[in-house]
Amino acid sequence: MKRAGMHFPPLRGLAPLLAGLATWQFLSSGPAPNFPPPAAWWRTVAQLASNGQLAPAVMETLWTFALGLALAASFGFVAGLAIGTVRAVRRWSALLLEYFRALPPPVIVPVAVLMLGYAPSMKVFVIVFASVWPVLLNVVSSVSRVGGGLVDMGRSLRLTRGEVLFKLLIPAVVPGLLLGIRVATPLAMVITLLIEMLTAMPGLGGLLIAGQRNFNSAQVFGMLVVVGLLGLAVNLLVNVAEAIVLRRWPPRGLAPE
Amino acid sequence: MNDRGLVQGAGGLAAFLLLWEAVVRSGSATFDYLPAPSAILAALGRLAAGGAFWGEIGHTLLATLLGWAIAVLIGVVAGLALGLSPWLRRYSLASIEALRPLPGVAFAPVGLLAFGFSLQMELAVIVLPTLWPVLVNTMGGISALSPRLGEVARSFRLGRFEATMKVYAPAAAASVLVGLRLSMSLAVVMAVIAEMVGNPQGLGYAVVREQQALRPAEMFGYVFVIGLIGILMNWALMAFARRALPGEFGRPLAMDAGVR
Amino acid sequence: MSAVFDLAAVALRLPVGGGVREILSDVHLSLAEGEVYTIVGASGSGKTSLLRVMGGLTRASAGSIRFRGVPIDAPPAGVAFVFQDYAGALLQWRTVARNVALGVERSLAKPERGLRVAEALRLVGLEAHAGDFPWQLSGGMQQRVQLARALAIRPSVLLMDEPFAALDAMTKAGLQDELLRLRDQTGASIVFITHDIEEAVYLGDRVAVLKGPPGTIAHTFTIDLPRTREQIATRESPAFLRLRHQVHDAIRGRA
Repeated sequence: MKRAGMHFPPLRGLAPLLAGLATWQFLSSGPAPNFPPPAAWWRTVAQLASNGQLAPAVMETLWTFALGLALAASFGFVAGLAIGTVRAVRRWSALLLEYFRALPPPVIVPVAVLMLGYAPSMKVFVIVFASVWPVLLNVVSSVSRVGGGLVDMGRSLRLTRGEVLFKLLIPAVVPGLLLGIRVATPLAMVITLLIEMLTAMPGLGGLLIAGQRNFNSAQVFGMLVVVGLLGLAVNLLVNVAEAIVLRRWPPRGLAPE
Repeated sequence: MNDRGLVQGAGGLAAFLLLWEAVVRSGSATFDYLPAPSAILAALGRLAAGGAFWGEIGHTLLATLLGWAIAVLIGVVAGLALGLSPWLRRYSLASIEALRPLPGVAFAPVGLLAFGFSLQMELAVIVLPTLWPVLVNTMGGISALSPRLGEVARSFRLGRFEATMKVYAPAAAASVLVGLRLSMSLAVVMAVIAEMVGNPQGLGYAVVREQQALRPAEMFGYVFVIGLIGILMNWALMAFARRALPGEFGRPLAMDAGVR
Repeated sequence: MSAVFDLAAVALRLPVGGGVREILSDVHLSLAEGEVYTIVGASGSGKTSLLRVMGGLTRASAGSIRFRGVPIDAPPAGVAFVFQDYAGALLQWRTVARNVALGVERSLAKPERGLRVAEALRLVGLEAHAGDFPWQLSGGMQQRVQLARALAIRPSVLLMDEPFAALDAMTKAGLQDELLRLRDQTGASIVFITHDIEEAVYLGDRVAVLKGPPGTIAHTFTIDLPRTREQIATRESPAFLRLRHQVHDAIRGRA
């Protein structure tokens, strides 16, 4: 049974992508202001790396993203447990949570900027506020799905409330938590980049938008690739972490449920 | 959600709004720009009376629907092809997995460079990220089909195209619909992003405009409308699905069990 | 007398795991017009594979399979399958009538198609449910829909893979009699796979015992019971009990 994330499809599947890039490179013999060839992207990115702009931007984006995601995961986990275990709270908050879930996360950015100003704390707050929902809702759903039976079992075994929570409930909810984190990860990345692009705060998003404002399309495409690779790396990391944590759980099907 | 659940949910919502109103009125709020729900309602009233508001809604809806439709077309066709052909899958899956994590927001500068401030720029931002859920879910739906259906098609000597249209595609419909719903909410998000970062039209731009003009009540009003649109589009999609394939979607399904 | 189906020295080998597994070996079979030919065997003996090979869903590795004298390598016209898992075999999103029409949509124009579908539904007694969806019907009724779908193409052979195994005893009995009646009315030949010895003897004009792996026909019994079968009377008759005993021994003896 395949473990989630531990496999990448056969590498020969990269053929279309590589072929596309090669064709692009080949066709761009003359000047094409808006669609520069891949070689130009590489040159620009190398330039940014050598004049010390790339590394700090990557670190800034990565750090803000990681912090925001970690906080969202923790908060979502605790709040999800709390809401999930008390049936009354779950019912009363259901509609409210549904609305917040449906709210497009980017919309929160201007609101936060207005209310919190241009501080790094604003950046983290927005990421947390936008990314907490998949985690929270998955945990709530997990608890409501398995909680009842486990609590009853705990009572029949005469376990204390704390034991029920730590020995039964939390382990049972971990797969749901990790699924929520998996969904929240790309979301947090998008929001981080979005904030940087909207507010010109330091980070990869800033470099992207700077490229556009300077009509430096090679920079724009080059940064696009950097962002893509970063996203790929982060996804891989999350998958590996999940596989390690879930070693002891029964294997999931291939599609998240 | 049953009736009692609905009442309780509505009650919770109302309690939240009342608490919010009270906190702002009493002046104990620490934020300068947090308006009371009543102020937001008033602002919405003013906006609705003016003409520009409806034009903005229309623009975002147009961009969303158009981008979604294009993504769905590409995604379903590609998903069907990939789902049915293991050879195609072997030679393209890795490329798809490499492109998928690209955050849609990163395409906004590209779109701006290529198309300037325009609807096309929005579409450039919307289409690519939106097409993945459709493609992945369609492909997954086809791959997960019971081999029995294939045998039924063959035993009745149906041609490839006939079998795809009559048997495989409808059988995968439930999965495809999940992809359609995911991509619909994604399309709304991407349209808003495109309008916030690029094309100065529509609801996304309106939110940023109100924020920069320091008009919090109007800004929250627009935020509320955007959330509403997402919910309405999803509901419309489900209603359409039930009409189109009553056999598959007419019966009670645990369709809303998924959490995103 | 020309046989409807003629299998000679048929073998089937399939790649399994790292190597090759022999599923069928040296199968000889001859199916006559209008006969009910039942195949019994233990699980894993290759019954389903034999049916699939006959129906052209799986290609044989060796030997010849002829349908009306013509070698086959794909599902031939005039042969219809009925599978055990009716829920998976029916198109759940189509009404009963449209399900039954699946095999004739391409070849018949609308008016003719409607008549053919109505005729098939009448044969299985489901005219009243033409507009229902399969998931609204019971298991037995869904299996009858599958039967109607098969009958709509006016097949000369019905290949049935343990079609009644998932149904309760009473529904099963009713469908067994209905199948015999359909055979009398349409003249189709039926190849019927089952693991239920009593069902095999009750339904069959001949019963083949498949032993394996690799599957091969160990014995063929000719059922000399009266043509008209009756659930209680036939099953209590000495001849039936004797045949049942013999088939049972054939399956059990000499592993």
